[in-house]
Amino acid sequence: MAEAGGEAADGEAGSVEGPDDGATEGAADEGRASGADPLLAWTLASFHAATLVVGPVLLLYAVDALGSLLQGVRTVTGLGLYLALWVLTWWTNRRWLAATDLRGLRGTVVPGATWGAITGVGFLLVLLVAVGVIVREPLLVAALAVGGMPVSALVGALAGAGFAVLDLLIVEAGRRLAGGERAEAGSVGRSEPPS
Amino acid sequence: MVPLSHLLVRWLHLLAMAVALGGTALAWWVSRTADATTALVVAGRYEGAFWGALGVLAMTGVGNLGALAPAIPRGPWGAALVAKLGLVLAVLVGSAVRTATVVAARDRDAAAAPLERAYALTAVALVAVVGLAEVLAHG
Repeated sequence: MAEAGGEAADGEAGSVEGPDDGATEGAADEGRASGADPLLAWTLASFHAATLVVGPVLLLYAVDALGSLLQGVRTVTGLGLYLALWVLTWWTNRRWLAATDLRGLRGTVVPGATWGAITGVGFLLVLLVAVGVIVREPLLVAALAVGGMPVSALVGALAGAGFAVLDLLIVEAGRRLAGGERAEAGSVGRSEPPS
Repeated sequence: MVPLSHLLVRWLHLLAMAVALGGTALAWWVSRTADATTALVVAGRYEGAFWGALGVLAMTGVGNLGALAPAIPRGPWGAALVAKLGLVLAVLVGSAVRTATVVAARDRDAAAAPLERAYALTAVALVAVVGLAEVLAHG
């Protein structure tokens, strides 16, 4: 963290306050609050949310289960669930980026798994709200909550760890393509120590 | 009669693709013609809009598939769908690398980032996605 802050002072680290941030103003404000680069947090959140939808859709279509699943979800419900996943992923990605220096596998994957588990549990809660509103069966919702909590935490942790590895490779590739030779991963993930 | 929600989903899908593809073409043109600093500023702004558009594309794309449920076709149509989804996944990963390049270049004030090629490649991939979408829509 201290190195990242030092690099910022030297003009080497990521600036989160420039006029060319690219993310929304809200994202920029939140990014500044967490210390993560707002554009990177917005990018990775959108990337994760889209991949978490497109990948399973491809798999479900391959096993011929997509049609029956989509038939059971109303359009508005589906859009709402995706938006919830997107917002949740954006929030946890900011926290994850603030918690990692994107320098090594362990320092990236462990927070990734932690925030992935939180994403999984958070999305389960959103699903439970949707199920509760649609079927109005409190006992069913309670049973799903009890049984689903550890499962969603585990699945979220695995997905978070997987995305952390992928993101590490993506950021490293971007750094190399940008022409940098030095190991400056921390300067990409955050520009200043978290408050 | 097509429900209003399906029309809205289709309209959003087209609008998001217009933003993604049109923005890519603009970013490519700027990266070719403008100085490195301007190109990087435009790239930074474009990347935020691009990921917003891509999120909407994924969301509304599933909505479009839902309009076909439960009898989502297979055969040649299914092969085109699989090809499109596979290409979309490739665009997602490739675009994440492109944005990471922009972030790294901006952080270092690096002028030599290969943005022109990245945007050209993205534009070609998105045109291919639109072509496959056309096949899915009209056969």
